[in-house]
Amino acid sequence: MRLVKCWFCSSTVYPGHGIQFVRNDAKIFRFCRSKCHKNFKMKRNPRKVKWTKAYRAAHGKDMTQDKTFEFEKKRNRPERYDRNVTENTLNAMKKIDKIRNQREAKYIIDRLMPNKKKVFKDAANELDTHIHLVRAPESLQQDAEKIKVDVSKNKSVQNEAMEE
Amino acid sequence: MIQPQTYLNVADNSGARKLMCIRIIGASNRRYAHIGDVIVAVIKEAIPNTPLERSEVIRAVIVRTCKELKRNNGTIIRYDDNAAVVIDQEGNPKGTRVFGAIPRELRQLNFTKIVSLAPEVL
Amino acid sequence: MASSTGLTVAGALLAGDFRLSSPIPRKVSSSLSCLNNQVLSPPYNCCWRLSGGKILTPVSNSRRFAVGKEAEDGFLSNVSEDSDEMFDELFNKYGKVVYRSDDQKSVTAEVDDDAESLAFAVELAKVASEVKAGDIKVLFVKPLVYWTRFFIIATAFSRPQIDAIGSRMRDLAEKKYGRVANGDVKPNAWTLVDFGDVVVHIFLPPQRTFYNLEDFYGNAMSIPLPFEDQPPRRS
Repeated sequence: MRLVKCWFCSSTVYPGHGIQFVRNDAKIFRFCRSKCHKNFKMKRNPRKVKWTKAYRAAHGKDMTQDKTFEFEKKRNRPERYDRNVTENTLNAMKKIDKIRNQREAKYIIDRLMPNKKKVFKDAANELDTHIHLVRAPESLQQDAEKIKVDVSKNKSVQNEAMEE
Repeated sequence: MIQPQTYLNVADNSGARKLMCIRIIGASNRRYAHIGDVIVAVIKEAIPNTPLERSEVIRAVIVRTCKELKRNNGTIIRYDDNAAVVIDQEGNPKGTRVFGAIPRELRQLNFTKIVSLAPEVL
Repeated sequence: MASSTGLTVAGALLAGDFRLSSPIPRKVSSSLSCLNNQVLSPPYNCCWRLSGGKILTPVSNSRRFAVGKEAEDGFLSNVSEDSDEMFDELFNKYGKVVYRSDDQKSVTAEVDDDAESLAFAVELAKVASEVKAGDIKVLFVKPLVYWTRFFIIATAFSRPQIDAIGSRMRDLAEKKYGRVANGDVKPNAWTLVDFGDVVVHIFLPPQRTFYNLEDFYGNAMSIPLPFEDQPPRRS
């Protein structure tokens, strides 16, 4: 059985699912579900609809260039069946799939990283500048004094130890 | 879903351009025709200087419908337009070439002649 | 031991690569089998030798693969570097996206592939010539359309003759090959008899020129018929 990609959202269309539309020039558009079909009928461009693969690829949301994608390409000739090759392929497919998934996840994490750092930085900054909104300035001063006291005590202890 | 009064495009070079369905052949009170059904139609528009003329009554086979066609394996196919191929009483096509994509169901319905004249069979 | 495990990994990936990219399948399987049997016998043609030579390299420096294989998870954890190199290597060797594979058979070879239907088609054509049909052509249309393999186009000069040809063909197909035909039963100006992989068109002369099927399937290979040479000799 042949699995094809949805024209709109690029997900896999399994046998018996979805609908095919044949334009008069014999180009076939395959859709995975009525959602995609309806969007097509509304003449939406998949590159401008946020939930499609085409949008995510076009806007750098997903990993698009990787060696692992090279394996899954349409070839013009069907291969003659060979049991060994098929078996090995099935094994390799799992492995490649695993690798690809990991890389995709890593890509997204890497992509989100700068923003995450910025969020941390901003939070720290805000804490510094606006801490007086949470705690009264007096208590803060008291804290500081306490610390000072502590330090001086420590120092004296240290000094004593030194003297000893 | 072709019924009397439906306008259809012509998918061959017989000379007709537009058909209007006036009767569906097959049963006495048949409502709708689908892909592979024979209809009686009137030529509403024709290319000048061709054997077929306007307001001639002919037979035609439906080859494409906007209404989805369901296959046994679960796939559903929909076309851009309603189109038919003009045939004579013996079932031979009046034109010599068929245009556009044609579903392979026509072959099972014994319209292999139309299929063998078509450029693309889906 | 390490080298052998490395081999299997490389083999699996190689094979996967091959089936998907389909460049030179013969070579793959051969190189694979020779790897698996650990028999690196001298290959007997140059293209094999090349593949053998290339295959040897991963054996010799199979360290990296072996390291990757030693622990599956370890192999996957340093996914980005190790396997990418491996993929790179595989692609450099075999992985070009090939749209036309080397082992594409010539048209005649494909005809051999369809020997049974060819024999059937030629037999039908013979029947047609026995009933004195004119201008018989057998076209190999499989590369052009997917729904059938052979077209037989013949001209008959009267309706009784069409009837004779059609019924004779049906009889022969049913008796000898156990096939039942679809298509026209009554003689028609264009009578079509459909045997599945062989489709017979019998025309009256005006219809033959009108529909001009040979022209439409002009790219199809015409198959030489054995009885074509005989009539001139007799006459």
